[in-house]
Amino acid sequence: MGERGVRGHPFPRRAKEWFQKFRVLFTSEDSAQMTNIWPIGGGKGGSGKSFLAGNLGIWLAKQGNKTLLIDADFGAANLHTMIGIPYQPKSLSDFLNKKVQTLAETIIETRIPNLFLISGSGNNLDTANMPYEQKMKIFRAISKLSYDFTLLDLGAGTSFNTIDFFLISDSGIFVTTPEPTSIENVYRLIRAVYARKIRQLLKTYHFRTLVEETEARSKGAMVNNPEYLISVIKELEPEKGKIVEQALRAFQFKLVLNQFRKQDNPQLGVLICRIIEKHLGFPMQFIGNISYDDLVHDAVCQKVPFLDKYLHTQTAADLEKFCKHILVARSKGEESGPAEEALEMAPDGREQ
Amino acid sequence: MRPLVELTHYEILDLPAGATPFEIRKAYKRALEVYSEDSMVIYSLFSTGERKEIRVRLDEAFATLINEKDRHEYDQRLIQQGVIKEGSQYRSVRKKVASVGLDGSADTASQPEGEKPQAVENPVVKEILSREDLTGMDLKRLRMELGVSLEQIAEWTKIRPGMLQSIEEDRFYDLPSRLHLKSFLKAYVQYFHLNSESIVSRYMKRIEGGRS
Repeated sequence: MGERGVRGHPFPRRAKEWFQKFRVLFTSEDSAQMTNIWPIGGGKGGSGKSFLAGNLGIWLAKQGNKTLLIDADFGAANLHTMIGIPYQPKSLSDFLNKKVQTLAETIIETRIPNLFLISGSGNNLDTANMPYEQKMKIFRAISKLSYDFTLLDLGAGTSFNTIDFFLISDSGIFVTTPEPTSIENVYRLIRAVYARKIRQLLKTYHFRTLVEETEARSKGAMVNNPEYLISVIKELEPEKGKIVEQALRAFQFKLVLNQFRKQDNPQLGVLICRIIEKHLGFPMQFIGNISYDDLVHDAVCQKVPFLDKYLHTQTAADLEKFCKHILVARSKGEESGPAEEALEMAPDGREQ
Repeated sequence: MRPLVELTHYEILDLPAGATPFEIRKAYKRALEVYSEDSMVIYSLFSTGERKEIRVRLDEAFATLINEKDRHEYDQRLIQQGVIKEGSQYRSVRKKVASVGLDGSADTASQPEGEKPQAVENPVVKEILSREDLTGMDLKRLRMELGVSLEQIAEWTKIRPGMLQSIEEDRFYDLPSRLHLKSFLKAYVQYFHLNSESIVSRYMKRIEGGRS
């Protein structure tokens, strides 16, 4: 089963290369800017990722922060529509196809001062299945851009694309609605991110050994419960277990409950975060419920920012609270950098 | 991930080491809801087998923590292992009471110490006790005057706090039958080493008038 997850993926074969490339993200001088990258994901489609990303971007820009919105939902991009920008010929594809030299050339100025967008509207139809190399190219390019805030609007699902973009930063926002379908998907995404992070931290060979060991102990454990991996790592190699645990604890993930209706349990978000901390072992902070409002539909249809048009609604008040939280929460730095280095430097002898 | 077996009884119930029995009951009830079959909070996170295992662990945690003796032994073990600090564990208000009451002598022997002289000499208590009729509010004032929390009484009398509150707030329709009410009141008053019979009858007199 351990094989399944990596099929068709160049990572195992090029582990060293991969690490070197990825490390650039965490250890270069640009790492200071990395700290304000906020991926926004949620697993399920329609939970409000683009809506939140768009409104958060507009709000941050209006507060005087130079903000970049990146539509990272490559197959189904529509962040531009959310903030009232029509079809754009410039897109991420241009950078990948070498039509332009730098990612900066794909950035569009919006009519809102301080707000910039990398649109996905003009993406080629095959951008959704971008090969790994291209993804790394984008990562490196993003890390070189200099913005106060960079918001990544991720697609639904738990494909490697989504997860890797999530892990570009130690902070991230998970969006869910108070419905079992959405909660199921957000848990799935969280676990996928979790497993991927461990894989990033350990060398390929090592990771495989661990997966096999975990599988041997409990069938299906790796596929469904990446958290069991940690206990196996901790037992076999306490040192590495500690490092991995620390890296997971450095996550600054937030959870937002969108489309909250008054009959829903207001404690749901808090309880979910507590469960994640207790059973998955990494911090997840609940930052609030955002009320459901039919007017959101109206705003999307009119292609106007919700906060502009419907300021005097509960939803707008909730949104503002959410935005303020992100403004204050600027994550505190990349603790995963040193951790990764430590692993790289661990004596290889044990792994052979 | 911290496997279930690694979580202490306190952690699995989301409680601090010094939690009161009242808090333990509440936490247990909340946990049963969170981990129930149709709970939205953990939807899809655990398999049926895991949920079952969690519930077994919850029951075990609750049974241990709610039993004073077991909890004490468990705390000692945690202290030895360095999981909790000496002094952070809960100390029961009825420590000295634990062994009495079996022979029916609870009326005179099992109250917390030190309360008796205060209760009778306290001018506010005197004033309250001198009344013809006693209301739930009077009982509450008396309790507050003596600095006792509802929780402490609940723990000592084994009457649930909600019921005690109903008594104190004179919510007649929430009260149990006369017989039960009488025995609840008696237990309540006995906590303060006061003459239970006269107080109970004064409270009941009014209730019976009000209920008719």
